[in-house]
Amino acid sequence: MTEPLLSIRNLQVQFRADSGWVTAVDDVSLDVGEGDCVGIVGESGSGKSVTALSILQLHDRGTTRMPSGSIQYRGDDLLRAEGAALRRIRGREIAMIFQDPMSSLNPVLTIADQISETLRRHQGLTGAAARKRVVELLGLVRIPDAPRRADEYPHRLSGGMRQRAMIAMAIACKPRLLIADEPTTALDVTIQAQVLELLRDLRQELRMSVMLISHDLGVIAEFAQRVVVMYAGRIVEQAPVAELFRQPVHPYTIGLISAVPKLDSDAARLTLIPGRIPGPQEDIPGCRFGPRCAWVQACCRDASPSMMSVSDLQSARCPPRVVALGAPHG
Amino acid sequence: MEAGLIRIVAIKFLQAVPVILIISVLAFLLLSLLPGDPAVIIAGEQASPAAIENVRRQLGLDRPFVEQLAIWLLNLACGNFGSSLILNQSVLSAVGERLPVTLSLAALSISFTIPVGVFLGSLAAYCRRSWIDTFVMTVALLGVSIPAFWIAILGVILFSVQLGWVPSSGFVPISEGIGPWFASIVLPALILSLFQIGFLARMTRSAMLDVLSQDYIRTARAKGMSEWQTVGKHALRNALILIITATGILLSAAIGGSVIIEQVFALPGIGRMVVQAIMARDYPLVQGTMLILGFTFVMINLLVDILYTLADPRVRHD
Amino acid sequence: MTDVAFTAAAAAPRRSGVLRRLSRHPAFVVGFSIILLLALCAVLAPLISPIDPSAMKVRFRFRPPSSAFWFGTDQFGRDIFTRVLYGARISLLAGFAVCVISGLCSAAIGVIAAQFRKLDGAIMRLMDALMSFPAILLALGIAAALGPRVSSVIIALTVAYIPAGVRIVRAAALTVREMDYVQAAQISGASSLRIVARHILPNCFSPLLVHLTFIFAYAMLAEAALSFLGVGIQPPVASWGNIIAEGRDYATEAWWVMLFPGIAISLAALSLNLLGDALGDLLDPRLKGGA
Repeated sequence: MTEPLLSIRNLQVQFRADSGWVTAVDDVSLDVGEGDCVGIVGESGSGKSVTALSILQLHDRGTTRMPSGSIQYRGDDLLRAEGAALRRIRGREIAMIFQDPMSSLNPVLTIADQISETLRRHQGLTGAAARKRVVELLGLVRIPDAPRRADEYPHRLSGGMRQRAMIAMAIACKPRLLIADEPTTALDVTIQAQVLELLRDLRQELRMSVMLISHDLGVIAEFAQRVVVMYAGRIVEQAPVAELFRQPVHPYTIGLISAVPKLDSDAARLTLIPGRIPGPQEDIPGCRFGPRCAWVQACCRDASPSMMSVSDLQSARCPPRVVALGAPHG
Repeated sequence: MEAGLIRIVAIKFLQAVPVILIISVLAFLLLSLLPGDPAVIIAGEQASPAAIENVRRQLGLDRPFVEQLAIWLLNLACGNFGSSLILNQSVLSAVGERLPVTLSLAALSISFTIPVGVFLGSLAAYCRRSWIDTFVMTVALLGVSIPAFWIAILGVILFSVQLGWVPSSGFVPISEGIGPWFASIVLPALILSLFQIGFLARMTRSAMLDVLSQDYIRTARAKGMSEWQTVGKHALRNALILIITATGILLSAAIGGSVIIEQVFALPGIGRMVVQAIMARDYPLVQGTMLILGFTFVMINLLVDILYTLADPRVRHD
Repeated sequence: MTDVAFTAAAAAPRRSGVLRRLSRHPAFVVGFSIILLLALCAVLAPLISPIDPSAMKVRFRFRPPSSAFWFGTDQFGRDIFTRVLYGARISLLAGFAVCVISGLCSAAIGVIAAQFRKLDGAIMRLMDALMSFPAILLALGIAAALGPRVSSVIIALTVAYIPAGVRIVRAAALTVREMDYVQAAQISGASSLRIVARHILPNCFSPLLVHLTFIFAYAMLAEAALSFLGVGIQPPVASWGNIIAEGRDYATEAWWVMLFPGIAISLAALSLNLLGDALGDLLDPRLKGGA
């Protein structure tokens, strides 16, 4: 088995609050292989974006710390990377695009300026060569009339085009891994589909791994090969996409999937999970999903559960359910 | 230049016209606002009725109000800002003579203020909540709180009287040598900058704090940009709008401040002239000078507005 | 809200009452304490120092600070400590009056400009014109024209500072007008006056309050400058500015005459600026995480 491209092990992220340090994300372990497409799904407050931002150390230094865990990338721990080494990885090896392209693009610089910056820094391209590449990249992300659009400011472009411009900026130096944090959430549905298709095509053309983060199960189902489900700062289930939908193990996953309304169902009411997502400072004994779980048992409150394998490829953080499914591994 | 830009500049120019008109009328009204008969005030309470009548006729105060206003405006259009009663010259030439002084003072202080103020403010914002932030902001706070005239006097005592590094008063024009000119102007200019730097640093910090918390700064870092590039290019360009606003305010404050500084350092500038004119009741001179200053600031504001549109592309496409 | 913001916000402290937050803000506490102390000194001046500030005791001229004369005496033998105390009355009163009056006028004019589009243009051109003169020169001209007394200074500075306040109120009012809840109120038939009073004015309050705190400081510094130049309060009535003016000629021999009023002005302005900073931080709707 080849080494995964990116390997997150037991990542813990804490935020500073008045009362001290609060754990936002705990015991997150996941791998992204070469050419993989991993989808991280979860609701607001699940910690998926927090995890993603940790990879490139994009958190606010003063208020965030990562006291334990490691993120291995090609033999180096990204969490310990600093200065020039870190900057070489950002944008060159690993790139990231964000949810709101309007606020994520600098409003006072042209698109061309922002893209050629990356080219200059990582590939030393300037002048006409950089310009040529910028137009090429804009064409690659299917922005029509690329030469003219390149000199526009972000506010002159539509939402979909802005997101494409961001993608162009991210893939400019052919990164090995692209992290996409809710890339379609701020877009209209039809544009969403176009952007996803673009990402899929780019993934194949550039032989890039993609880590897609979304709260939309539909987007994940369409796009990802493997799915990681997060809840309240922890991973609760990991599985290949087909397996996840065929046999969801963790009660939260089950709830998530059944909460999606189906056009062809006879149900008169929407299925919901009672209760609400706990905040990071809330101290819940044992399993953090316990208070809302239909399958909860006494042992769930006793100890914090750890991930258990259901099969080679699927694991879940719910011992009762895993055991019930007759899984041999513990 | 894009068409949108030219259009906006033209509109700003047109908007400035009524302002200039209002300023002219306001300056004219200055005299009529005085309680009592302006002619008596100018001639002096002790003057004989004949002398008073003379003054009245000289200043055209015996004509109907509207006619006075019309004459005033017409004169302005021809570049005649009136004549000083005491100095025996036209307002324009009186101001012109003293312009180099005030200009030296303002230019030197602003050229020092802008780089130092912006740098300190950005530094404080970047190192937010650290001791650097607290230190810089304390210094800035002191700058805007300590009265300029007071620190000026203390400065003169220390640097001129005690240490003898610079002259305590008087202005040396550049024509007599850069060294002496600089020596005569450096202390006043520095004192003038104290308040300005404090103000600019505070405004810059505020603007930069806002900008540095924006998503596009995170994107810049995610692309692998160095901290210098992220702050110097991405952040500062966005804070520019607020910084330009602050600088516009500072230019106005600089002229105001120079009034006091010129008094303390006995520099023969425009500010000192206005104060002396007010004391001596040389109202035509006061009127004319206020008008010239008013026009200057309308022009400065126009420039600031134009700089806005250059700095913020979002404004151009309204 | 993005995932990260949600998590970070959830980790942030719950919103305690405004007063509680104010009392935890060091800038507010320091600023408020100092200005309160100065105000108390001003009000209780006769109690703190029963000496007449204008009483000349030529025998005691130019005494340095001692246990008898805490701040020393000036060229007429007047006790500087007492003069500074009484000077506080004038300077703080002038600053406060300018602050309040210009605030009320700015609020009124600003709201009118925002509400009545037809008047807006004319009002703003007038404000632009007024702002084209450096405030201190405008105040200088008006104060000189009206005569050297407290009221002249107050009127002059009020006129000079109104335009800046109008801009702030107008900007806030215009923003509020576009808000959904104001439009909802309009649709449901609320009268203009009611909308202004209940919705627009309260929202202009915060930015105006912060601005006025700084105006208090500027007005105080300006009054001192005007008195120093001779167009403000005249001796023997003590104002921090004219004590400095009088002490200037003897600055090298009797440094204490100039020193203490200067420190007093600086302290007052400092505390007001701190206060303004604290209010600005706390009244800012965007949780920026403090100074």
